[in-house]
Amino acid sequence: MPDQASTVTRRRTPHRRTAAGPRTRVVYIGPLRATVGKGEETTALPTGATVTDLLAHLIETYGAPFRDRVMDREGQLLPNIHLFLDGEELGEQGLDTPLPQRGEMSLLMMLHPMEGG
Amino acid sequence: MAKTVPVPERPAAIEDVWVPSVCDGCRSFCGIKAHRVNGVVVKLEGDAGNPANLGRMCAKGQAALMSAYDPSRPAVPLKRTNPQKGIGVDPKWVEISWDKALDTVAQRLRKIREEDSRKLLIHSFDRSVAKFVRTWANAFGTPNHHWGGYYCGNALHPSTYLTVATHQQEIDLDYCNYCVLIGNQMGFMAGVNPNSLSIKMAEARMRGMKVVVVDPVGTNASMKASEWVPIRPGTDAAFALALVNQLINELNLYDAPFLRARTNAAFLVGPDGYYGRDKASGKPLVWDPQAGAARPYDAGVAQPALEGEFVVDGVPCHTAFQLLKEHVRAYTPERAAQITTVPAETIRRIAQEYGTAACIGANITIEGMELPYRPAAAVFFRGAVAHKHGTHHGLAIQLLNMVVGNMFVVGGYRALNIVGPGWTGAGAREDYSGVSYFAAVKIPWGPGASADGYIMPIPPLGERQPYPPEEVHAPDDLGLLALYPVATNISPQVQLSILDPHKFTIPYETEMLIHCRANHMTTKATPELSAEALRRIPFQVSLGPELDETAEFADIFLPDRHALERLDPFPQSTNSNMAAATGFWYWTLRQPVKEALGQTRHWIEVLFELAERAGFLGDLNQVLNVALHLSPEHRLDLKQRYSLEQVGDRLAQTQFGPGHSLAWFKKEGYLKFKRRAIEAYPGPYIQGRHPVYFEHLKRLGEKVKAVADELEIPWDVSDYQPLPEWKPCPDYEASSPDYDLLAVNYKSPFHSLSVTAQNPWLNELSQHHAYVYKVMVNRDTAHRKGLKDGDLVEVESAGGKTRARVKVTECIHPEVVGLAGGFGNWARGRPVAQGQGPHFNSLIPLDTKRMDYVSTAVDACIRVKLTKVTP
Ligand code: SF4
Repeated sequence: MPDQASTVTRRRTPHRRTAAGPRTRVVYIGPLRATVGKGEETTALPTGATVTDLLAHLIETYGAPFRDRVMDREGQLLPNIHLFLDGEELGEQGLDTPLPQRGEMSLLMMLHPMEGG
Repeated sequence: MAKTVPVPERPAAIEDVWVPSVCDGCRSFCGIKAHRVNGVVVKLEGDAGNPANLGRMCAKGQAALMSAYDPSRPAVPLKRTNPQKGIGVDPKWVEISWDKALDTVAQRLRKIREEDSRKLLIHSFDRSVAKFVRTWANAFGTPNHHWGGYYCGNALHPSTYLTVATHQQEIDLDYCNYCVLIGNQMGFMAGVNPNSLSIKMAEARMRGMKVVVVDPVGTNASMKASEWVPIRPGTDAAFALALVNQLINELNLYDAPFLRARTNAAFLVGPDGYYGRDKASGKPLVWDPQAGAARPYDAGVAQPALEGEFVVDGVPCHTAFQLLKEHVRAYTPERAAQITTVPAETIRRIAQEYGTAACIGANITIEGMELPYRPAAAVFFRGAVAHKHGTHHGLAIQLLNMVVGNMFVVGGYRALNIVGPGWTGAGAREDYSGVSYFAAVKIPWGPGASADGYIMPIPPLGERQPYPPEEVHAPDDLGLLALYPVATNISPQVQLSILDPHKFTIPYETEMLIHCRANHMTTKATPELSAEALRRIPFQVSLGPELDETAEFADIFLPDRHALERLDPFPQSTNSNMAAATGFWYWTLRQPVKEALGQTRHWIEVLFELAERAGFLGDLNQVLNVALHLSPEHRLDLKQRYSLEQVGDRLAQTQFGPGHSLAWFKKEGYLKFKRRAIEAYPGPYIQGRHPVYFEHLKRLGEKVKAVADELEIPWDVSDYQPLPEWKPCPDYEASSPDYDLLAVNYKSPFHSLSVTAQNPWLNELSQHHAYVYKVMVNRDTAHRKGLKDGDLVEVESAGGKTRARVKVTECIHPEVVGLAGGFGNWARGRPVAQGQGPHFNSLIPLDTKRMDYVSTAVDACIRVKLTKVTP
């Protein structure tokens, strides 16, 4: 199985490390709250960082339990993960979106429907 | 001369109206019209135009009137004052204000959400609002939102998802000529859309369709069938595999073109049981006889070999079909007869009749389309699969359908709504008369195909990841869903995890339960264990229209409205009803037809308010926006609390356009449009293959085992096999001569789960019914034991006991006793149900030894002894 963190890492945007990079309030909605042990946090990333960089940063921070809940083995976002940047939902193409200087990123994990009885 | 008695004049009716709504008596959600006179509902009738039921209503639906006006319904919030909790323990309720009650609950929620949201468990079987319950749990952040009962036997749905990618099943009764019902009563007021299907079943029987019912109990269906085949419980897989053996090895009655093109029967399998794969693409290989070489299955090989052994890169491979043929040879009619007690000649005859009736190779023209015609099919339900090896029973029966090529074709088997009106496959229509739903939400309502070609569940099932998942990860939910990757119900495991979280490496203990409309205490095995699980949870809030056995454990009780008082936007789900047999696509609205009782509130409105009070309203609205696919102009503002009606209106307008607001549905009741033939019989056009060889199951089992081993949880993956087998249930052999009978449970057409037992009309019906509150004992068995009609007996198993009066009958297998439904209630709040009939689940122990490790099915056939007792 390919290393998902490194797949995300390979897609990372080259960027300059400056202190004035984007600060993002990350909000966890759904069971991801329990996975990371908090409802929200603020991250600081280097200038030019994108949504992919933010995800890679979170995968590095929270390891396999987080990674396995958001990515498949090819490093693609799972279909039950929804990303909102400043309230706007991002599709798969939105992963390359640069993070704004001050922004809010919501990671929403939808539960699997349990239908049977 | 007769004396004239003056009759007081009735006051003129100020109000006399018929209001359309939806019945909640079972999951079929029939369309109804309520006759209301001066504010009082005096009659319920089936809504003639509603395709769900074609104007019919069953006894349960009619009797709902009585439960709406039940004087024992709680009308105010209640608080427990007795700290002791247990079966039969009086909670000593006192009234509490809504404000105080919600404040108490919200404070707990806020604290749990800050600490660890997984400590909240939600338990409901309120199917009308399942999407809202799941959404709320999602927004709260708990994966623990399902702790229902074992109603369908649990193995039903995995067996259908694995083979046909949907949840429920039906038979095309419009054209079927040979229908085999195994452990179920579809078309006899059971199963999906029972009113419509019962009409279809009656019509089909009148035109000569043969109905074979295979069941240990001579049920309602058996009595009307052309043939009742009494079978020993838990042996259905042996019966089905013996039929398959006859069809493919003896009678040559199988659909080879279908197996080649629409299943994985031609895929090559190596000696390790896994597919031979193309080195470049990794795709499974088939053998191309023209080229004399193996090719990827999707490389366009016109006639891949269906049988034989081929050497690929020096490795001997067999086709999956060849392996299936060899596998089922062990199920000779004689061996199957020993296992099932069904005579070998009966098995041979049914195989011949079924295979011949399937008209393999025939076509029929409908609406100008030439479609395959296979008018023979088999369906199963709880009776066949509520067993230790339940998934194997289900998959074995599905083979019976697949080998004759009857999947989604005329006269054959179909699972519910595999394609929808937004389906973009060949022949799908683009125009839906202004109904904008499918365009708006951009859901291609049709099945997908996995990389290995398997049929994949349809998107409306939800945001589910690929099914079954490719990978297995360490679970953190009470149901250990990751260790049951094909299961759709993990309820038994939830209970085991609550009782011993450390054993299953659950890193938290459940602190709070929200329970509504699911009577955990009566619908699960071993009430004592259920009680212990509830006692372990420090705080329980129950909501519901009655104080049932589970609510008796609550710390706070909040009264819900009766279905006739509720507004539920679009209660039906496309995977549990809206059968193709109805001939339509339809969406309905349940709306209040009577004034709500006292201070009752719709429990979903209560959940919405709790989200606001506990500080996660924004998350809730965000999740609702995603889950309901609300269009941009109808999305919920994250800061505002909406009523269910407001959310429903936005949903209506998103789905059906501005011309179909909730107000429109209130007036009209339902929106319907006709299915076309392509939507009723999509078989030849759908993508994805039905597996006859479950290579992915074998692979998944190894992954499950690896994770379980890593977590050091003892886990049995021996049922993750590529071909279904018959394996005996734990109680197949009697371990003691005293326990010489097998007890089974069956469905009465006028009861639904444990809910209807409190209904006075249905209770009266049951008291006068020959079987329903009784224990059915075969005539010979009764004679041997000196029992006669009306004797009171104790039915005792290793798990527990219950009492009932004997009904001596020939309508039951001689080795079996039958107990209907879920009765034997004891809650103070259910005075009508109290003490009526036996409680079958008291006999069933909850124990992993009796659970299917694939589906979580709990074995529901158990050895019992009967002892005559004096009242
Ligand atoms: S079949 Fe179910 S929904 Fe229909 S009338 Fe009967 S109880 Fe109501």
